[in-house]
Amino acid sequence: MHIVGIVLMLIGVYGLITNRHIIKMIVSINVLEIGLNIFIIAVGYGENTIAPILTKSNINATNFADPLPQALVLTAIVIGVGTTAILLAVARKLYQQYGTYDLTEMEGK
Amino acid sequence: MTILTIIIALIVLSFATYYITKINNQVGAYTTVVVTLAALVIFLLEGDKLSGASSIGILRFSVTPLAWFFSIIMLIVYSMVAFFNPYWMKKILHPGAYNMLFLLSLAGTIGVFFAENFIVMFIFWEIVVWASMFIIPFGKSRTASVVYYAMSTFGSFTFLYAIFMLYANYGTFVIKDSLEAAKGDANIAIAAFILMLLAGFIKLGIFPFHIWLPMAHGNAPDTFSPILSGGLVKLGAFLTILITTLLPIHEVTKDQAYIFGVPILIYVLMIFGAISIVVGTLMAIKQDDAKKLLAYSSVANGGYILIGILLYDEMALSGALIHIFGHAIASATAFLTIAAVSYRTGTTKMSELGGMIHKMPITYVVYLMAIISMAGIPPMTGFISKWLLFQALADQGMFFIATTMFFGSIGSFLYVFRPLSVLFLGQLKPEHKTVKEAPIGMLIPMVILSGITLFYGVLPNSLVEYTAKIESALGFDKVIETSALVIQGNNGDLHAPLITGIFAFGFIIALIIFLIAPKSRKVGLMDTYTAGEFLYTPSLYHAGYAYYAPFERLYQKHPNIVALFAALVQKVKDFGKFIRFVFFSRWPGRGVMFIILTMILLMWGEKL
Amino acid sequence: MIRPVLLVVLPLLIAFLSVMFKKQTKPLLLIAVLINAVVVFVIDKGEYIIGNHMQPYGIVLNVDNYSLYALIVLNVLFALLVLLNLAKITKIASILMIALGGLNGLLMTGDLFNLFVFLEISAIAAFMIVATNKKLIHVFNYMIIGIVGSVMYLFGVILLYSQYGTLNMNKMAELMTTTGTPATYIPIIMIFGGLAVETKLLPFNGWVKGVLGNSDSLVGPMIGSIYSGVMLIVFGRLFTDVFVLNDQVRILLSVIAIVTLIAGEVSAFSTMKLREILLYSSVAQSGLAVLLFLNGYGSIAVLVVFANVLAKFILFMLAGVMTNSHKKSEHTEYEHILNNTVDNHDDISTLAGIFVKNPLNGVAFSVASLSLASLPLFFGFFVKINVLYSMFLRGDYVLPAIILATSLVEGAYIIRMLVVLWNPGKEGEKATKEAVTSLNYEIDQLVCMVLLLISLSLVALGISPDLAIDRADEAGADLEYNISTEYVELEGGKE
Repeated sequence: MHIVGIVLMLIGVYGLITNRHIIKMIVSINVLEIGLNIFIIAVGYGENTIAPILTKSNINATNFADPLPQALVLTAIVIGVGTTAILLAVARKLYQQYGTYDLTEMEGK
Repeated sequence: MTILTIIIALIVLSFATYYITKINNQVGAYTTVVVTLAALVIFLLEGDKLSGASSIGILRFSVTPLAWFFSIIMLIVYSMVAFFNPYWMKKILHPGAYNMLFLLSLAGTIGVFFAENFIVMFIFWEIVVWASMFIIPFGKSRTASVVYYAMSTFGSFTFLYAIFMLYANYGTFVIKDSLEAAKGDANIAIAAFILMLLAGFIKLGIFPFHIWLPMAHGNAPDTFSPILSGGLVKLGAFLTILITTLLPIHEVTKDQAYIFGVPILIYVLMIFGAISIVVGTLMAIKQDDAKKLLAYSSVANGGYILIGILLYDEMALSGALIHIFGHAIASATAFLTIAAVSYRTGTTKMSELGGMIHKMPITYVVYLMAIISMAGIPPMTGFISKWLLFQALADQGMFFIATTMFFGSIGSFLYVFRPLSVLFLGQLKPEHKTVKEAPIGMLIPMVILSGITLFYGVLPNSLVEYTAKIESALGFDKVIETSALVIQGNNGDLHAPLITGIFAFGFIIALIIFLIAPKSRKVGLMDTYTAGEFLYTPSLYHAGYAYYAPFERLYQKHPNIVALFAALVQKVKDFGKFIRFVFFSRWPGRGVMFIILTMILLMWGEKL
Repeated sequence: MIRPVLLVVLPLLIAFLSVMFKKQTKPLLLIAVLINAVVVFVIDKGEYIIGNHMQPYGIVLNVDNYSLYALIVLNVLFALLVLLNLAKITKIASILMIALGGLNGLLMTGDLFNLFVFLEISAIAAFMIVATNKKLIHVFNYMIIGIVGSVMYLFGVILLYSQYGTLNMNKMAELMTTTGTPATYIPIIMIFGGLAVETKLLPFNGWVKGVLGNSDSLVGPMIGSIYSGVMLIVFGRLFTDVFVLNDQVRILLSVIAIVTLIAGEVSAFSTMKLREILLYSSVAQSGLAVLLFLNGYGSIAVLVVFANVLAKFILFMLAGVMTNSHKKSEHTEYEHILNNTVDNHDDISTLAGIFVKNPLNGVAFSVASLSLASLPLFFGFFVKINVLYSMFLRGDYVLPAIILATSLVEGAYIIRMLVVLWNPGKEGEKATKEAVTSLNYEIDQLVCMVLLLISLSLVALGISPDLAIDRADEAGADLEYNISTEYVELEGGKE
C-alpha cells in the first residue's frame, strides 16, 4: 500500500513539472495530495488489523488499526479541498485576464 | 578632560550642527569651524593631561604620544578646512548632512587613534568610512562612493578577521597585549600582520589598491578632498605603524631570509610601496584635472610613508612621521588652493584655467610653498622628511628602493609644477578677467597652513624631538638624536636653520638684482599672442595642452589595473544574473523540478 | 493568568464574525489586532494541554522564552502593519485575522501535525494576501510551490510518526536523544524541504521574486518581514530543539544554507531594481539564519532574525510606497486604481534623489539599510560582530570568511542603492537640485512617524544592545542544540 501512495505522489509531481495547462497542474496537485493521503493511511494500517471502532463484537480485540493517521488524513483532505478551491478561483481569474489556460502564452511581468 | 568626553561631545555636536544648519546654512557651517578649532585648542593645551580614564563598557581609550601626534595633524587639517565650509553651503545639495558628517568623521578619527582595544578601533574606523562615504557623492560621482566603500570594507573585513583570529588564540582584544602575545607563534603573527596590513594598505592607497583614491578624492566636494587626502588616508598609516612596531614584525620574521638587511616579507611589502611611488608619480604627470593630480600625488606619498614605516629604523620611522605631518599639511594646502580657484572660477580643470597669478596672488604664493614642500626642497618641512628617509635607505644599502624614491622625488617636480605653470602662470582667459582674490575667510587658513610648513622646515627640532618621544613609547631601543638645532643622522647632520639661511641669502641676492635691474614693460597678452592670425582651435594653444607630451609618450600604453577590478565586479554581476535567470523564474514547473532534484540529491547524499 | 490559546482563538473568532458582520470589519479587525498586541505581554509561560487529551492524541502549546519573544515581536509588528495600512485592509480583513491566528499558532504549538495545520492556514492566508496585488501568475506560482512544500512536510511527519509513534515535539526530542540516531534521516530532510520553501532557501524559492518583486506596502512587509521571521523561528525550534542531527546531515543542510547566502547576495548585487534588491537580501539573510541555527548558534540566529525583521519591515514598506510614485503632472494614485493601471517605478535610477524631497523617509530608509549592512552605530553591527565572535570562539575559521565575503557584496549594493536615492546626477556631474527625479509619492504622516520610530530603535539598540542580547540569550537557552552563548559585552568591563 505504501508503494501505491508513493507512485501516486510521483505521478503528481511529474504532472506538475511537465504540464503547462493550469487546470492540468491543479489536477496534478490533487493527485499528489491523494497519494500522500493514501500513504498516511497505509502507515497506520498493519497486517490483519481492523477498523478502530469499538463495537459490541470487538470490544476485547487488540488489533485495531492506528486511528491517529486517519484523523490526520481527514484534516489533510480538508486542507486539500481548500487549496484546490483557491487554485481554481485563481485559474478562472487568470483565464479572464489572459484568455488562455496555457502558462507559456500568458505574458507576465 | 578625557577622550571619551571629547568624542561624545563631538558626536552630539555633529547632530546639533545638523539641526542648526537646517535653520541657517551659514550658522551651521560656522559651528563646524568653532567646534573644530575648540577641539584643536583643547588638544594643544591639555597635551599630556589628556587621559583615557573614563570609559563606557567596551569603549576604552588609552593616550599615547603617537595618538596625540596624529590627532593634532587631523585637527589642524579639519579646523583649517572648516573655514571653507561657509562658502560651500550653497553649492551642496544636503548642507545639513554635510556638516553633520564632517564632525562625525572627526569624532571617528579621534576614536581610532586613541582606541585601547581593537573592537573600539574597528567601530570608529567604520564610522569614519560611512561618514566620509556619504559626503563623497555630493560631488561629481556616485560610483566613486561605492568603490571607496567596497575597497575600504574589504580591508576592514580582513582587519576584523585578524582581530578575531588573535582573540580566539590569545583571549584579549587590547591592542598592545594581543599583538605582543602573537609574538609567540610566527604563523599566526604573520597571518594577522598581513590581514591587518591590507586594511592599512587600502586606506593609504598603496598599489594595487590605489584606484579608489583618484576617484574619491578627485570627485568629492572641493572642501572635503583636502580632508580625505590630507587626513583620512593617514588612518592607514596609523594602523601600519601600530602593527609594525607593536608586533614587532621584524622580530617575528627574524628567521626568514634577509635581503638588504630586512626580512624578505618586509622587502616584498616595501616593493609595493615603491611601485605606488612610481605609479602615482607617472599617473599624476598625465592628469588634466588638478584634483585628480593631487590625488595621485597622495598615492605616491603613501608609498614614501609605507617604506619609512616598514624599515623599522629610528631614522626611517621619524622620517615617515614627519612626512605624514608634512604631507598632510602640504596636500591639504594644495587642495585648498584649488578649491579657492574653483570657488571663484567654477572649474578645476587646468585646460580651462590660466593666469590666476594676476588675480589671486596670495593663493599663488600659498600654492607655491605647498608644492615646494611636496617636492622636498628646503626650507620646507618636506625636505626634512625626505632627508631622513633617504638617509635611512642609504644606510641600509637598499639602492633599488632608494632609486624609486629618488625617481618619485624628481617626478614630483614635474607634476606639482604643472598646475603652477598652467593654472597660475600663463595667459589669463578673458572670461576670468573679473575674478577676485579668494575671500578673507579662505585666505586665513591657507596662510596659516603655509606658515606651519615653513616654520617646521626652518626649525624642525621640536617636531623631531616629538618623534623621538613617540619612538621610545613604541619600544624602540635607539631613538633619533637631535641637539639644539641639528638633527644627527648616521652619515651626516642636518642643520636646518643653516640651510634656510643659505637659501634666504640666495633669495635676497636675487631680490636685489631684480629690484636694481630695469623694469620690463607690460603689454596686453592677447595682442601679441596671436600675431594677427585667426585661431581655429584655441584649446590647442593653451599652455597646458599636452604639457609633458614627450614624457607621457614614453608610457602611453601602460596597463590599467582599474580594468582588472572592473572585470571582477562584472563577473560577480554576471554570476548573479545567471542565478536569477535559472532559479527565480515564474514557471511553477521549474520550481517544482528544482525542489525534487534537490531532495533527491539530499537523500542520496545522506545515504552515503 | 491569561491562557496563550487566546492569541490564536481570538483572531479566528473575529475572522468568522467579520464574515457575518460585513459592515463592521474594520473596527473588528482593529480590536482583534490591538487586543492581541496587548495580551501577548501578559500571558504566562508554560505548557498548556488543550482539551485534556494526553499526547499524542492531544495538542500541547509550548510557551517558553523562545516563543514568547517571537510572539511579542510578531503581534506588535502585525498590529503596526495593520494600523499603517488602514486604507487597504477592508477587503482582506478576515484573511488578515486568519493569518494572525495561524502565525501565533505556529509559534506556540508543541505538536508536529498541529504545526502542519497552522502552516497551511498561514500559507493560505499568505496566498490570499499576495493575491491583492493583482499579479496572479506569481500568486499561482507561489501556491503551487507552497503546496508541494507542505506535502513534503507532511510526508516527513508521517515517516517520523511511523518510526517513533508520537507527534508531540517534546516527546520526540526525548525519544530521539535516548534511542540514538534514527535509521534514516529522510524524514528530517523532507521536513527541511517543506520548511525551506517558506524560509526561502535556494532552490526552493522560485516564488520569492514574483511575490516580493511586485509587492506594495502591505504585502511587502507582511511576507518579507513578518512571515519570514516567523518561519525562521519555527525552523529554529524544529531543527535545534526537536530533531537531533548527525554531522553528515548537518553539513549537507548547511551547504544549502551557504549556497542560499552566496546566491542571494550575488543576485542582489546584479540587479538595479529596488524591490528585487530587498528580496534577494532577504533570501540571503534567511540563508544566514538557517546556517546559524543548524550549527548550534541559536541565540545569535535569533538576533539575526530580529534585526532582519525590523530592518525589512521599514525597507519593504518604504519600497512599496516609493515604487508607486508618479510624476506630479500625471494622474494621481487614485486615478491609477480606478483605471486599473499601476506605474511601477522600480529602477533605482528613475528614483534618483527622491529622498531630497522626503528626508524623513530617507532617514528611516538609510538607518534600516545601514543596519542591514552592519555599520556601527546601528544594531546590525553588533549582530554581525557577535556572529563572528561565536564562530571564532568555536574555532571555526572558514564560515567567518564566507560570511565576511558575502557581507562585502551586501554592503556594496546597499550603499549603491542609498547613494543613488539620496544624490541624483549623472556620473561626472555635481549632484544638483535640478537632477532630482520628478517622481514623488504620497505617504501618510503617521506612517512616516512610525517608521522613523522603528529606525530610531535600531539606532538605540546599536548604541546599547544589551536589551536585545539578553533576551536573545534567554531565548536561546531554551534550545537544546545551542552551543555558543558568549557575546562581546558592552557593559561590565572586560573585553
